[in-house]
Amino acid sequence: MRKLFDIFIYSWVWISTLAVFSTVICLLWFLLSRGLPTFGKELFFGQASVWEAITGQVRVWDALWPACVGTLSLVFLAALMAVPLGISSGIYLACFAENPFKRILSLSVELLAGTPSIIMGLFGFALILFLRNTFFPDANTSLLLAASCLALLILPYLIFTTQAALESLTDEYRLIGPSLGLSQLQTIFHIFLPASGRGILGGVILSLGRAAEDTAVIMLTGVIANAGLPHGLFGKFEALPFRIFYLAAEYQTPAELNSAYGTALVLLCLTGLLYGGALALHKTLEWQWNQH
Amino acid sequence: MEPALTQPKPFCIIKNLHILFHGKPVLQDINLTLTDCGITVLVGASGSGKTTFLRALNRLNEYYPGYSASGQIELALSGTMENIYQTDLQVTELRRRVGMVFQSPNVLPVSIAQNINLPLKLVTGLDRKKREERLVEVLQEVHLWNEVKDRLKTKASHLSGGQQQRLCLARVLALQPKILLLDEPTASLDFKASGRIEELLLELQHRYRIIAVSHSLRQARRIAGQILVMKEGRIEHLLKKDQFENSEMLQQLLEEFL
Amino acid sequence: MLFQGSAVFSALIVLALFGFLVYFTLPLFSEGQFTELFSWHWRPFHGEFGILPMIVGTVLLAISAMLIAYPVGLGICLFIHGLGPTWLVRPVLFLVYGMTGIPTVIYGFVAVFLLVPLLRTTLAHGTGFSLLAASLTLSILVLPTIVLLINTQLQQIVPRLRLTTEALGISRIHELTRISLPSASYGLLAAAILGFGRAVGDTLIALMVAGNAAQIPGTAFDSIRTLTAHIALVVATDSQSTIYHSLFAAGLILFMTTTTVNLLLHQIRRRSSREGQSA
Repeated sequence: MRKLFDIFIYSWVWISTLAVFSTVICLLWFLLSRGLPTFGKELFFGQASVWEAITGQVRVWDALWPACVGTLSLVFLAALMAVPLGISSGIYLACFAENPFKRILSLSVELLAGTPSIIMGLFGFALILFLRNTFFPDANTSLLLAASCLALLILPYLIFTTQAALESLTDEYRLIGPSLGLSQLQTIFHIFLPASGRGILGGVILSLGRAAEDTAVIMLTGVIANAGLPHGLFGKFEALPFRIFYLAAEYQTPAELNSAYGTALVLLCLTGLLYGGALALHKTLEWQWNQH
Repeated sequence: MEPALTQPKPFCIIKNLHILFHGKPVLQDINLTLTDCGITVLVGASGSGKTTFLRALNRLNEYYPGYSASGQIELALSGTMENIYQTDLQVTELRRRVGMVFQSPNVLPVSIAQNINLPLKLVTGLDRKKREERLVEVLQEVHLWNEVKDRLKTKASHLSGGQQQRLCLARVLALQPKILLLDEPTASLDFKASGRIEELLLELQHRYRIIAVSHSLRQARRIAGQILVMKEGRIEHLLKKDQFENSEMLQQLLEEFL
Repeated sequence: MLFQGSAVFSALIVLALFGFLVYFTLPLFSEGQFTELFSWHWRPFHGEFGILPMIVGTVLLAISAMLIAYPVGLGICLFIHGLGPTWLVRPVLFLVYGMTGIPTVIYGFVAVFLLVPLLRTTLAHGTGFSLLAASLTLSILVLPTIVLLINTQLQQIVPRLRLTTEALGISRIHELTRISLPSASYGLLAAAILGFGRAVGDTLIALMVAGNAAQIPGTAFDSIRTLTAHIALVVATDSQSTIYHSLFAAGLILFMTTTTVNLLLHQIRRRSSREGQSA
């Protein structure tokens, strides 16, 4: 009986691990084998010349370039809005807030973190409907709206990582500032933030990855398949994850399918780079603290 | 200090000091007058309130939740005695003039020079040239200058434990405090590094008023001008040099201490 | 002051989300379309806007994905904590961390071109876009959440116990199944709840792989539509405003579900930290 139980457990454990391992290997192999051959000038710029495409002189058709620019501008704008807000909220929660106010604030940030991304998108969509019915009849979904909704999506991550990085400082370290006669603000800016900077930076990079990969939010807030380069803050735009989604459902020719494989690989590399960077920061951080 | 006086001037007067955390008394009924006669060393079992006593003198206890206190503390900060709980004395100003060094060296994760420079800039607002002068001055004062003068730009965390602790001391001295509070400054150091810190303190006692917590009675005997014995949140004894050099008295003290 | 302002602003966003959803759902109540909403038929051109099939689809998909992912995730945790060879522990953890970095749309994409054709040919039943395909894909998506949560807690429990149990001659399997796992109960529960929350909230995989037919599935090989996919689809097809209200009702139901899940989680975390376990 006991023997049987042991065999059952061991096979369950091994099968689970191997199954997941092989699934992920399969996924990577599939993307690499189909995506790598498509890499080249054609994938990014189509028939247009590289220089003319980058400077925006010609419109790029059936290629990645507009989607790359779209995703980068989305991530940049979202970070521009969310990072200052997230870090200062994190500082407030870690250094100033007191219970029960702190508990209420943390709880609502937790709730925000647990809210599905499509709800953020729906919020943006509703905002436009609301504006149309009230102040601006011409309001429409746009790059700025999508970036704002993405900012809501990544805000909780930024708050949590900032708060955690600050709260992990040792008690003795916290006393340096006050014991030297520094004011509370000086202590935070010159003593606390430098020490937890790497942790916070790791959180920022992770959140950039989240903003780059999310599709549900932008689907409701202004992304379209053939927008070309983004036309300013209030224009429509393309984005890498949406291009993957769109081509998977609507591809017409084998060339379009190949382009989809290439896009998927590019997005994977982008998020892989961001996550890898965050992980590396985290590792060196741990290493640094272990030296003490 | 004026040599003619027969009675040395007091620099610290404490009246009816009580400190509670979350309603639980940690220091009780402290009445004490400290005068200039070398380093004042606090000894006592762990949990007897030594650290809390020390932090009462620069109001650092207020940094912890659940703190409440009553009583009065007067310190000689600028010639005359000042009540440190009075409202017109800024707490940051008090903490600058009453410097503190902690148990384990807590350098900032920046360069050696920045460790001294940064607080100096933030607290005093001196210009760059004055700050650089001050930097050299205090590093020489703690005998660290020769060891680090060629690598002021390297990270402070690369220094040895003893060097780091001297750097922390220099960081405090740069702010030109009147009184120095040391919370077991050698507890995390090896024998040799502790020796250097002790020598340094014996030099510094002529320029600053020093109050130090010590974990070892031997160390206390080596460096103290007077010893404060604490037990369960109260001051049990204030021993002058002639008293604790008397071996019988010390024997009695040892028994109590253990 | 600045810090407090931004924290309060961040906290108020949740209220704003809720407010907007309620504001746009309200007309349904006043115009008496409420019963229409809770019907079994979604035929917008016949004026029928029932979202019950989508609720059923969401619940079915989330539960079936969890039924696959949870045992597998638990298995991986046991692998990491003593039942697998030590030299494989780091690669496995690295793999799980790496999985969190793979975009959802890529899981969906690979499923469309790898898993769906596979199901279509081997099962010879329908198009392959089905509840089964979606739940298999979704289970891969929620797996890291489950593994990392349980792992965090086992990391705090196992090293403390191991020396004692080894000294007593208790086998690894018994130590893990009889002692460590029972004392990690909060972590196990939190992983199940959070995993379920993530599965309910996912849009892309359901949208790409589940087929999106607004129906009650007869078998696992039938197509379904979830609330999330429903929202995405309705917004994409520009229609008249009556549809929009049902859209926000779907959003509200979704929001309230995930909020309940997170409140539960919060409660569990509080209780566990009070009892000295941390989840």
